[in-house]
Amino acid sequence: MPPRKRAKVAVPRTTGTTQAAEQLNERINPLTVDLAVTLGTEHALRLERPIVVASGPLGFGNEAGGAIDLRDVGLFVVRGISLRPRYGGQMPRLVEVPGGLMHAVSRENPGADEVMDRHGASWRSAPCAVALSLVATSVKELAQLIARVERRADELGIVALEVDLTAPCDDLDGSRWEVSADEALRLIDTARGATDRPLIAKVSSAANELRRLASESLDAGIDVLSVSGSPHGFLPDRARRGPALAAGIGELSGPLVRPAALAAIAVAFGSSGAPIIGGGGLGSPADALDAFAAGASAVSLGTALWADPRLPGAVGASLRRAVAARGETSVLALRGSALGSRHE
Amino acid sequence: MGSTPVAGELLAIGELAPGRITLEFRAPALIASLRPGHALHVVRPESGGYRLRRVAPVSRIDLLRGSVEVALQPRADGGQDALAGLRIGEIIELIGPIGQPILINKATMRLLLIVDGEGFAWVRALAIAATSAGISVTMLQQAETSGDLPPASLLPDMVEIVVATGDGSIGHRGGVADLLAEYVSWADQAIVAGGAEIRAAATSAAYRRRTVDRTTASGKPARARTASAGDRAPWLQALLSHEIGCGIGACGGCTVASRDGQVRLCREGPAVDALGSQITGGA
Repeated sequence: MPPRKRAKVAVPRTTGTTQAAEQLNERINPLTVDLAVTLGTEHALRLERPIVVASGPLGFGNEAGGAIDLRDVGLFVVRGISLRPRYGGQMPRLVEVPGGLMHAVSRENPGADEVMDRHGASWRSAPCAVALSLVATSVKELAQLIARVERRADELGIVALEVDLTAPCDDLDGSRWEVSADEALRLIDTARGATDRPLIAKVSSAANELRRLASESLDAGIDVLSVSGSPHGFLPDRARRGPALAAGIGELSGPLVRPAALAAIAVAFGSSGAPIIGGGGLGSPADALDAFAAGASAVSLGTALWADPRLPGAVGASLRRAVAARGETSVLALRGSALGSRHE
Repeated sequence: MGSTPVAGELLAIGELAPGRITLEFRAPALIASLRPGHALHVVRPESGGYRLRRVAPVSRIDLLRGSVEVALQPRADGGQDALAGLRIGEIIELIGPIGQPILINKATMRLLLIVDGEGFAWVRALAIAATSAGISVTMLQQAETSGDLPPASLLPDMVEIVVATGDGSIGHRGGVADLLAEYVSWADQAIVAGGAEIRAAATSAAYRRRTVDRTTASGKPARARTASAGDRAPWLQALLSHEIGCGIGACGGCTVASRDGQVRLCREGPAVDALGSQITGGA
């Protein structure tokens, strides 16, 4: 019998730096990592977890508690509400597209009063903060809407308000507010004058003048920028020889929008340093880490929750591990970590 | 989300018509809760790891095998559904039932089904169940050509099948609209499932039926078949298909307006009162 060869075992070389990091990591237990974040300063929005349920996919409130565990969520943003009822248009409103889906629900809602009547109780009892997403087609309408909401906001436990700049604007012939930084800033200014609650402005990766909007919206009174809105899309129905959605143009969700969303987060963070809720096609804990690395201070989850209701819990656990691995104790240590010196 | 996902083992892959794929899953835990008109959400990761909840109508329920057959709906972009590439024995997540069963009144003895190639999957299970319950079923099928029609063997022998093809290759040349007048007075209830064209034809026929003077020579209204107290289904129900969504009635992706308010197809549908709803578009 030939003598047995001794197996060679490769021993990794360790440098002084990695040894120090390893020693430090041993001392950080992921469970001790603080996921709480405070976004903004003047009207600060404090979230126990930097995980946001985007406006839309889980409805107005009553349905959400049975769909996911809201204890894993920091902020639930209620589906968009308007002063008066809005009809969502004809079917089909939702179709699959390569790499995601496209929807045209047109911010359908029965009006602010009815939504507050029917869903307010679920907001009060929610184990996370609740924000209302406000849909207005004019500055005047937004002022009236905020006045209506403010009357009952404390009673209903509404912590913050989101101004939807991806909603259509009358003065822009139905185009989104975000196509004009001037119009968007005018709307933000009105909102700031009407409430003392933390204000979130939602834009998409398709916003025009994103750099200017990001920096000047802070001056106009925004506390948090949500770069999580859906860009537009179009798909012909080849069989029916018409548009796949009855409305024609729709809004895109899913992995196909993620790279553009990450770019927008990086641009907005780099140009303003604003606290950013980043979203758009985030479907896994790794995707959420990418959004932090691009500059987000919190992440927004949307249609991915339909197929994976446990995603918020998984994202939270992943964030704790990532923070601990860096030897840090605050999740904000992850913010912008991929931008380095090369980001604009 | 909503119902708990159930593991379904793929038993067979079939076809209702060319390109219209069916998947049969062993899912005993689901079977008892399924009724004709229900759909399932089929969940499977796509490229990039994205998981969608696709709506797949239940086209057959086999209590003895503990299996359910669902039909894959055509994609708007014409792409091949990745679900069609599943292998026998693979296990994927099924969520359901989605929606409400189709309401059939107790007094109904004659049922008219009006379908095209798209709608057949939604009513096949109903045709099987109704004939088992002793109801006379007539199915009006519309297709462009005979090759697009589902094989008659997919339905029980007792179902009377009347076919209309656009090119006249089999059955009546034209659409089912030409045939409806003969059948609407016969049927106690009717269900239409399919595209906008046959829905419009069925709805027009239902309106005409409603305006027919049913007064007899004696001057008294003709006696309708006695309805039991629990009978509440409208004469014509339209089955509207929807593709994807939350499945809990939250997202608004499958909502249609009706006389009685908004109908969420994933919760209150997919069958809606055809005369009381604003049903338009290609759904």
